[in-house]
Amino acid sequence: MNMDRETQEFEKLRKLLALKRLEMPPQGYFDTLPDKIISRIQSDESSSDENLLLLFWRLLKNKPIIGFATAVALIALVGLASRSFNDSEASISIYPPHNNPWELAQPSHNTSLAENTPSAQLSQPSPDAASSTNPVSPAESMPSLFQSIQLKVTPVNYTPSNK
Amino acid sequence: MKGGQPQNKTDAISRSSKPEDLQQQRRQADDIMLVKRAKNGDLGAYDELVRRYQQRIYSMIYNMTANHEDASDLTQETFIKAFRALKSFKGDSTFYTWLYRIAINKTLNFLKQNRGKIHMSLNSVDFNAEHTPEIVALVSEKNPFRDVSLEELQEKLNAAMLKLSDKHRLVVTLHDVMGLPQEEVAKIMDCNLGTVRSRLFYARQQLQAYLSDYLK
Repeated sequence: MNMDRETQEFEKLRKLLALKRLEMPPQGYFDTLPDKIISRIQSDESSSDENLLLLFWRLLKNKPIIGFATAVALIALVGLASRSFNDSEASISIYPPHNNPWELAQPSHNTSLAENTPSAQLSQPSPDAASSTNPVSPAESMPSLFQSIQLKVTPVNYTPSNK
Repeated sequence: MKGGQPQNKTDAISRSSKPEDLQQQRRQADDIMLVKRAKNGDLGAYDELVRRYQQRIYSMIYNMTANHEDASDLTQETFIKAFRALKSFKGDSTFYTWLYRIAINKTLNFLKQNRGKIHMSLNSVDFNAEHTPEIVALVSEKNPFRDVSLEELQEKLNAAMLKLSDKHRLVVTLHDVMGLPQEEVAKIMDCNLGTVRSRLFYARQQLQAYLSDYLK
C-alpha cells in the first residue's frame, strides 16, 4: 500500500526522469570507444619503462640535493672503476720485470759502453733462461739505443787573482 | 555433493525458470570466461567486455556529472583501471557489479575534487524521443511542459539532479534513470536495501521540490 502511494506520488517525476534515458552521446561514439580504451592500455604497457625514467627525472628536478648526491656517487663510481682498471692492467703486464725493452731502453742503466754493444749483449745468456719453464724462449733483452750521458762537472773559481 | 545444490553453472542455468534470468546467467558465465582470458593478457577478450558494458558505465557517469567530456574521460579511466586491477578480481561479485563500483569510486572522487567547478555539457535528446509514449504523454498533458522546449526541460532536470548530494543522485541515477532493481543498487553501493529506499525517497522529494513548477 505504502509503495503504491509512493509510486503514485512520484509518477510525474518518474515520467520526467525518463527523459534522461534519451540523452545520447554523439552518433558512433560507442563504436570508437573500445578501440580508444584498448590502445590506451597498450600504450600504457609500453611506456611503463619510460615512466620510470620520467619519474626519476622529476625527482631529480624537484629535489636538487638528490641530483647532487647522485652526481657525486656517479663520479666516485667512475673513479673507482678507472682505478681498478689501471691496477688490473699493471698486473697483467706481458713482460717480466727485467726483460721489459722499454725499461732497458732507459738511459739510466749504469752499464759501460762496452757491455752495451750489440755483440756483447748477444753473447751473454739471459739470466732467466735457465729457470724459465716457458717453452717459448723469452724475448732477448735488447741493448739500449742511446748511450748514457755522463756529464763532467768542473767547479769554477771566480775569485779574483792577486796581481 | 550436497542435495539440492547445482552440480555446475550449466545446471544452475538450466534450472532457472525465467528467460531473462537464464539470459543473465549465461551472460555472467560468458563474463567469467572473458575475464579469465583478459587476465592472461588477451586484449580481444577485454575488448568484448568493454563493448558489453561501455553504455551502462558511460550512462551512469554521464548522469552523475551531466557533462559528456567528463563522462567520456572517466569511462575510459574506469576501463583502464579495471584492466589493471583484473588480477585482484576474485569473482566474489559479478564482473559488472565490480566494474560499477570502480566507476562509482572514480566518479565520486572526481566530483569531490571538482566541487563547484562542474558545468553542464549535455548530450542531445535522441531524435525519436518525441515519439516515445512517456514523452508524448508528458508534453500532451495540460501542464507547463507544453510551453517549454524539450531542451529547456532537459536543462532544468539536469540542474535539479546536480543539486542533489552525490549519494542521492547516484541512487536516482541507478534506479529511476537506468532502471536497475533496488537490490542490485544495494549490491553496487555496498549498502543495505533500507538505505537505498530511504535515499531514494529523500532524493525524489528533493527533486519534486526543485521541479515543482513543472510537475503541477
